[in-house]
Amino acid sequence: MSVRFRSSYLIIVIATGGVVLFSVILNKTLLPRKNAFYYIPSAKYIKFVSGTFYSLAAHLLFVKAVLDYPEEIPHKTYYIISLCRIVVSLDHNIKEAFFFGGVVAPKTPKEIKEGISFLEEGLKVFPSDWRIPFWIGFNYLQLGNYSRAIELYKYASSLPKSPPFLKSNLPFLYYRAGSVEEGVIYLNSLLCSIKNKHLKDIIKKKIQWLKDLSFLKKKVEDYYILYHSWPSSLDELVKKNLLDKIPEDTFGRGFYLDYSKGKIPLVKSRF
Amino acid sequence: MKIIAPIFFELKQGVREKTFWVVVFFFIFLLGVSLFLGELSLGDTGAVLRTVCLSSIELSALGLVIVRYTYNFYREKEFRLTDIYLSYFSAAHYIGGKLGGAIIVLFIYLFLSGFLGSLLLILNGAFKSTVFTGIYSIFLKLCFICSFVFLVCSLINSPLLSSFLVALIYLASELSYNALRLTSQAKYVFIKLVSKTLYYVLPNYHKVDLKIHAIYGVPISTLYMAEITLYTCFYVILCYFVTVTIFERKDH
Repeated sequence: MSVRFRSSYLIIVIATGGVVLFSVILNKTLLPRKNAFYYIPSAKYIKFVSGTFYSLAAHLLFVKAVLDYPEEIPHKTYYIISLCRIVVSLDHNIKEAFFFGGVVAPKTPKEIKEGISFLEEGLKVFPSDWRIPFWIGFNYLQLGNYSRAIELYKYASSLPKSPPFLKSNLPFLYYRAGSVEEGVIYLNSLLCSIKNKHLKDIIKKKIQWLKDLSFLKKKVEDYYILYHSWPSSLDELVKKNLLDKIPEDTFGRGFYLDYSKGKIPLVKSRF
Repeated sequence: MKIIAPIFFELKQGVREKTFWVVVFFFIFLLGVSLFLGELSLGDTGAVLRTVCLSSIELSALGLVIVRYTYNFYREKEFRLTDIYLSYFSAAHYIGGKLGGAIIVLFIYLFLSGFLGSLLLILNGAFKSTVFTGIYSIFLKLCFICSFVFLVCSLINSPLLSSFLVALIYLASELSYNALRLTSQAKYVFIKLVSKTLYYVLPNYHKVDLKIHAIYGVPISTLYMAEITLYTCFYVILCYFVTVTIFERKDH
């Protein structure tokens, strides 16, 4: 082996050792965390420079929004919704961007309202897609606005390819909105239009459940008329012979009286 | 026909060169990346896979066309192969052979990458038959670029400048429609006129490109496909004759 070849071989070995050593040392060295730069590009500029690759650009931005979601970002919801807005303006077929920006990202009531306004933009683009009014209704549920949620669920259930649960969950929404009687009237009229036997049976059971709630509410009012005080529990209605027995709660773990909202009790179901 | 021989030489050379197979492996790598992107995207993984697959096919084929054909043209000139060809064939046959061979090699590459891409989509349950429409539109787009490669190479003596100029022409063709929309709001008539002229001179990619239809499974009418094919043929023939004229006048 020539001297020159031996020295080159030696240098290669030393350099490899140095690379491995420094790689190990750098792994153990703690560097201060770099501040990430969360930039919201302009949709117009991206549209201009992406040419015929605008769908690719939209999908890449959507992936970026998904990847940035777990990060600690100032005004995170605004950032995610803005990115999702750019995604749908580039390629409006990416409906998942409406779901991510409108439902997944918002957490606080203020952010949920922003999510609702973003989803309402989607409703204009996809008026016959049941998912968007359903997502808006879900957001209103989170805000506790059950009446608005009921309207949107009803609308979503009337759209093509909507799943049966949109109809079968309406009794629960009417119960939460405190509009039990209204729910019974609506669902009885809905029964005529349902052909699926299984779905019909579920809705009939739920109508009976709502009727039981309405019946118990009336009996509580009758107790007040008779004794000028509200009963402490539903068992008192049975003791005072206003009821033979408390109806079976087919969907919860039993009916009860809820005094948390004030002096006047509300008949509730334990879920 | 005398033009068949140079086409055959170009084709044989094209599929044997390392550049061709490097691009194929690069494309396979991009397909792998598309799988990861599909996992990261919530919901419609299929659309992401189709988007990245078609974009990878187009960009890798573009790289093949620009790098391989440009450098090959100048290498033949450097090794005096061009003179040998021109002693047997006329300039028209030589350029026609190179262009025809280049288009066939491009077709073979798109066939191969389309096959691999379709296989990946089928394995992931994301395949739609409209993907072939998308690949065909990519073929038409790159036929324009093939014709520009030889036009620019005949004009310019530097391979680096030629490949850079062809890449710019591709970019300009991609953005010409957006630029036209932007400049339609301009104050000065001169700017609108220049922008409109450039738009009609450059290939109208936004009309030829069918990737978005391929991604979302929207079928295209046979009439429209015939129209864009004819548009491409006329444009390539025009570029061919301009190239032959320039090539004959230059001292080769």
